[in-house]
Amino acid sequence: MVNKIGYDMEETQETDTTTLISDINDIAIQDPVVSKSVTENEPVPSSSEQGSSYEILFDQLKEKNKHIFVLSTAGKPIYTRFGNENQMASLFGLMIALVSVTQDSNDTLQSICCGQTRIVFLNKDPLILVGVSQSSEPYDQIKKQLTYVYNNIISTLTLTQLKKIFHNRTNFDLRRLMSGSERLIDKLITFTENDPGFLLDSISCLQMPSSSRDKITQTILTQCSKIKNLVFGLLIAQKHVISIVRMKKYSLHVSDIHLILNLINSTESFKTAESWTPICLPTFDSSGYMHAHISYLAEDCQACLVLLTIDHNLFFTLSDAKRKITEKMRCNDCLHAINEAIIRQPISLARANITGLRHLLYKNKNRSQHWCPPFTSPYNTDELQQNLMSVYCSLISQINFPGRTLKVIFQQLTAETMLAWATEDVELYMTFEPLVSKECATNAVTKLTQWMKKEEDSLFIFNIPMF
Amino acid sequence: MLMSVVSVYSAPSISSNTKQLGLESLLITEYICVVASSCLLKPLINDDNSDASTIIKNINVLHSRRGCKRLSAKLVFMGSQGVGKSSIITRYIKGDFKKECEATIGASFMYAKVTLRDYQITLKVWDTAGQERFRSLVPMYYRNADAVAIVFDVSDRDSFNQVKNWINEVRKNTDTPVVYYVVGNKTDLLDSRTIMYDEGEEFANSVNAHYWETSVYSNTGIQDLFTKIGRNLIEIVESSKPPANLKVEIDPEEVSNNDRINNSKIQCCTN
Ligand SMILES: Nc1nc2c(ncn2[C@@H]2O[C@H](COP(=O)(O)OP(=O)(O)OP(=O)(O)O)[C@@H](O)[C@H]2O)c(=O)[nH]1
Ligand SMILES: [Mg+2]
Repeated sequence: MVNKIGYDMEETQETDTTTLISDINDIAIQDPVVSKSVTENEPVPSSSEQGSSYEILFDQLKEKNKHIFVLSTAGKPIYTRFGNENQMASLFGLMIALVSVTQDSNDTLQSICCGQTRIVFLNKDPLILVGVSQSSEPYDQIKKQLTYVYNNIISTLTLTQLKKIFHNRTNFDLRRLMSGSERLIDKLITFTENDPGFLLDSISCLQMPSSSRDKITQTILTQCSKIKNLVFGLLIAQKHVISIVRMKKYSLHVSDIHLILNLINSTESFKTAESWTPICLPTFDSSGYMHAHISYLAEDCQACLVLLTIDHNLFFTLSDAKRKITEKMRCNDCLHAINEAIIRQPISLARANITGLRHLLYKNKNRSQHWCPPFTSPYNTDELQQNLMSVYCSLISQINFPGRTLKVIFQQLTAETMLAWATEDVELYMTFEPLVSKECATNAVTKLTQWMKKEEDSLFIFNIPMF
Repeated sequence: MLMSVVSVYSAPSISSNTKQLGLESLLITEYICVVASSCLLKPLINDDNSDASTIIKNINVLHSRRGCKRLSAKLVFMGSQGVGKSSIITRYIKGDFKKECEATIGASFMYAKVTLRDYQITLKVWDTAGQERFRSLVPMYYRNADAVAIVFDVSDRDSFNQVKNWINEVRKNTDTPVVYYVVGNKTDLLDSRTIMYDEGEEFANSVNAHYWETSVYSNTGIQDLFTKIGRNLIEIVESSKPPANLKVEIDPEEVSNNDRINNSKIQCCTN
């Protein structure tokens, strides 16, 4: 129920996805015929040579703050964020050993801590994901990152497919099927490190007057509602969502939207042609593909329209619908409104006029949407912003710690004072000047809440219509 | 761009050519209009290969646009990962080449125009992904194709070996006549080239396909590939038994005055 975009209370949420599973579910692995022959057993270097090369490897790996590895339960390397997985045979071997030793005693290895370094394991048979962080990130955070990486793999292969592949051949080299999507995983990990949407389980909306947004949504809806088997429509500008429409009874999960956003923002070639591509939305339905028609509205309007269907024959219908949507939006000035919104300076926190307030994250919990104003002085460098994000990260994970209902956290740190404030509907994380008092901070909450009442219409999407 | 046109016209061989046709002044103005407005000719101009005579030919085609025949056909590009399918298509349509390009996800769709004799051919081009995980989806794209271009990398034997499977697969799953092209790309890679012209051609003959070589990098063969495919499609529709899926529409309209006005407007902008 939480984290669903466009969830309506009165609806039954038993998503009967069985009817929605696409019929193209099989990736035919027609060995040796079409696939490039990948040698299953790489030559193992002799042990002396191995010793020194591993030292070099580990020295290289130590330089990086955060690592993510993916391997199969049989120990085959699948992905590493840094370095070349072919040179990491013994490292992967060690990971497998640790996992299976605990498994043998009917236990599950979740995490290992040593000093600042935390190693987190996520066992998703037939895959094992391992995250190593040297910056004392919370366990939940790393685990969630691993889950995102796992979801990205599912989104390219489907879970059904993945299981089938490893069921037939435990020793399968998954890189064969993953080639080209490593790039997406790299970008996704960066997204999980920088984006407040990942921390807050929410999306960010392109700020625009609600009247313009409604007009845009209505234009999309009018075209889409006629199309049978169209399930979702999303309009996206860079990292922000402009509008969402959906089929009755179905709603999009935040983490699935994050995957779509990552795909679009990491693929330049979508800008030059219409694309028609299978995609699995793991939280919506991990068993089958949906088909996505992806295209930018117009050369002079860089908003990307994503239409998701279960019918693989729908390309030309959707292509036609998209053309009509663009035409209509050009006539009714929506394209213009989008362009304005994209180039406009994002609303600044200074407008709220609250003394001592430097920055904040505001989450509308019912809508799973957040607002993160632009960073202003003193957070002028990437490093300072990154530091602030990790402060937020730790507050968010304390507020949302399972089984605990923490409502307020007040923290005076050396460089800033932090206040976290959670209610039924809102999560608010505020950054103040270092010496701001508790009373002053709580007053700011009241003031900000009032101000948000006026502004939220343009910051959040309230109307997510169905067809 | 206008500059390049002007310089072409100052070359003596060309002016004699155009005089023969007796159209010189008309051609120049019309050609400039067209060049300025239509991206159709862009690849031609950029094409190192394009000599003056091909340009002249194209002018003639455009000149005789009144009463032209329209033909629309589906062309599907297939082949292993990274052989250069997207690069070939982008080179033809947009006229540029990027060293860094992403692997295609799923497939992308574009229109490419070919003007030949009195035909205006619109190719609905599908650029499919070569990655193995998209293998099973490719049939969805080549269904009802009128022409398929199966691309390989002349420096990668693996990709060449795959061509046969692709051809067999398409043959098995289509029942209308299809124009098959085997395309050897990256001929600029002289040092690492492993499949020579003869081997490629011999193979193509053995599977009843046409053979053609391209290099997106040095921009050779690209324009001709599309023209040749267009020519073959015309042959099919003009044959005694044209298939039902390929239809020619005869366009009775003359090039309207509006068109001309628009063209000249665009010309002003580019100046
Ligand atoms: N040297 C050389 N490189 C080329 C040529 N054509 C393409 N490339 C390069 O080959 C790489 C792959 O090109 P793409 O066009 O993406 O290949 P593709 O066949 O579309 O690949 P998929 O979409 O993965 O199936 C790119 O780095 C291009 O720059 C060529 O004629 N010569
Ligand atoms: Mg491609």
